Amino acid sequence: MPTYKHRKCYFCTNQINYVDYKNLHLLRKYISQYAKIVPRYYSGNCLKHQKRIALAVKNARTIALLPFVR
Amino acid sequence: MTEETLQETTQRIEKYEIMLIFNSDLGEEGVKKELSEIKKNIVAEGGEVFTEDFWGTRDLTYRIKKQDQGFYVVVNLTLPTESVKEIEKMLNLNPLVIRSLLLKTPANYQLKTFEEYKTEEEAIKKEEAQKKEEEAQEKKEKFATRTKKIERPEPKKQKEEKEEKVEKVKEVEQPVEVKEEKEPEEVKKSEETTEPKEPKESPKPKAKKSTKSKLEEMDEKLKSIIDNPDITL
Repeated sequence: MPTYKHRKCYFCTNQINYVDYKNLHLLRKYISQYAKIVPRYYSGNCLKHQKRIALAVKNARTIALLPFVR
Repeated sequence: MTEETLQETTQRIEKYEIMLIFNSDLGEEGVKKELSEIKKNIVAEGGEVFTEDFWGTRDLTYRIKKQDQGFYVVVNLTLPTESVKEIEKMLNLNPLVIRSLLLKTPANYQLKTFEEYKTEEEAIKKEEAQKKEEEAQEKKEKFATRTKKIERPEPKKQKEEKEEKVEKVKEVEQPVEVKEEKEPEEVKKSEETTEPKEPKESPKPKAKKSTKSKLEEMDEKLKSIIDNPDITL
């Protein structure tokens, strides 16, 4: 088990560069119970991939795949 | 010639992806009719449609245009960069299209169909379930080993205590015999330690003699005790 400090980004370890807005079961990991985007200090992602996740979530929200508010 | 080449260089064609939500009242056939009309528009603008993926009717996460359900369609296409805005406009003005999203796709992009996502999700769920089961088993095993470790020493101690008690009882009854058994061993040990150092030095034999004398005294005492078994401790 990696410790809280020494954990690595999920996308860096699996070499995923493009975060798809249609991949809902992946995006739901990075959404809180109030449908907010989980910040980086909880999710443990690197900045590059966190920004891509945020973009994907926002795209998914515009076409009603994910909620804005719950 | 020069004008044409200039036009070719300025007109850039890129790959795009459109996700559309149709009115759910249309049904599949109605949606396909509408899509064909949209495709005609796209081709007229100089684009090409590669793939289509029908997600079917889904619940919208929030109400759009007084509707709770929508028919989702994903379309991959190429478009000249100049005509993107016009197509967005066209989609926005279409009353049967509830919502649309037009995105530029990255290089080496391959569309994953809705079914593929479903299968992926199921596989991931299965893996998670397996992991959970394994973890539960490991925990059980660890718990079992811990309990065993705790259980094992207890009965031994109890047995030893019982034996000791028995011995004590025996000692009380026949104290002489036990002592006899123990002491000869001590004698042997003392002899073993003393013997190898004998030839080198002279003072040690004296010590040996003293030990021997002590042992003899002890033997005498024991013999006296054996002779007079009436004495009780």
